[in-house]
Amino acid sequence: MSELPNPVDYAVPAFVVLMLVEIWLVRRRKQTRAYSPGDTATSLFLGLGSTIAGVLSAGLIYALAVWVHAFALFDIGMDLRGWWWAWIACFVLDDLAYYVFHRSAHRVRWFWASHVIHHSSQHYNLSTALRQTWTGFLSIAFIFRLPLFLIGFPPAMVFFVAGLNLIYQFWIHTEAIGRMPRWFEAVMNTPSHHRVHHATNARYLDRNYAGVFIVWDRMFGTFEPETDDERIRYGLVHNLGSFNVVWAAVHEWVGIAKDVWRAPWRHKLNYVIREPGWSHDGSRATSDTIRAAWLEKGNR
Amino acid sequence: MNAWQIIGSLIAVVAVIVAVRMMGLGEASIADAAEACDLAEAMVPGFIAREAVICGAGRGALIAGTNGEFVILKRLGSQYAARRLAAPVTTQLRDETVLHIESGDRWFGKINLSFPDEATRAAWRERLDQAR
Repeated sequence: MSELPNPVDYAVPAFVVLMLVEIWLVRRRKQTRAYSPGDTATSLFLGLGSTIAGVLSAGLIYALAVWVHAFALFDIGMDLRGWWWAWIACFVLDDLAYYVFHRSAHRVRWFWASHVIHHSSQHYNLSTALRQTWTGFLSIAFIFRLPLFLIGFPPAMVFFVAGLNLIYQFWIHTEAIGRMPRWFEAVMNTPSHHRVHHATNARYLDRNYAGVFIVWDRMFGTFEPETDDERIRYGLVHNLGSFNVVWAAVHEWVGIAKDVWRAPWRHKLNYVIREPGWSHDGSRATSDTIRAAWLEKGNR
Repeated sequence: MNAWQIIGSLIAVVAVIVAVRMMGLGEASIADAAEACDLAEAMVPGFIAREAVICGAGRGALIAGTNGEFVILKRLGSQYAARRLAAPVTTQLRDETVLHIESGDRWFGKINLSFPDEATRAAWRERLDQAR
């Protein structure tokens, strides 16, 4: 497989240390609601399960990447000295691909069924960052990176920078950091921007999809700044109400199956491809209807 | 990923959970009826709260809405989860002040709300029964 190591493997010890530091810090600040044992256990076991699921599907995804790369438009090398600009371009374009994936993951229920796991905690701390999907392969999330292989970026390079992207996103899952310097907040994804993304407050729903560079949200009209006037509520519009690890991992897939089974034939596909919360009789709430109701009340 | 990495990860997971528990994190309680109403309205789209009763020293709450609906809150970690109760609501009396309520959601579970006193429990149970 890849001749490069997975950088996430080397970052895991740092993740653990940083979580312990955050736990100590919130205790010191008397922010006793920042963590809870049950929630942390659920997040970490989902993270461990995700790693194992990723290993099981990695070979197939890598083989697919190599096959697609055979049709590449350009012949891009791996050598850092000769191709340093390609590494930078790959990192930036991979982050753009992540933005597209992430936006789709919130707007198409099939993709959401995998991604919802990451949003299923009502807490927001570094352990939330590790609450990752078990079913990414099933939701074919890897298709969003295929254009990079078609351009000509070697699969090993793409998967390496994707690992760096994932590592970057770890530290932004915290309430322990307020705002970064203004120039940093303007360009990079930060804890402040990502708190907005994890919020269920009407004003924040489906905003700030960025991975590393918040500029994508600013460019494509999905940016929302964090306000100090409103306390953030994290989690899902319809929270799980359970710490059950397996239910957290599969509940949306079960929901899709039930909805498709019950729906009239002409609406079945819509329960797979429409936005989360969509229903053929309009009986459920989507992020759009929640936001519209909130705006109707004269908010903004 | 090899077996040692999995074992190492498991040890790290347990260490972090133990640290959270040892630091005494994860406590929460609803302060008053107004907070319970705010939580219910925030978590259940379209629900407009009218009044609420705090149960079990703030670990849960039952909220009545303006349109005859009820929402139940239960503590989950240091946060609260909400469910709109679908009529008819199944309830059972437990002990002197506890009311057992079936949320209708298998994973949200069956909730035991401990009311401030027997009379309050009886009054709220009657209201839930009328929601049928």
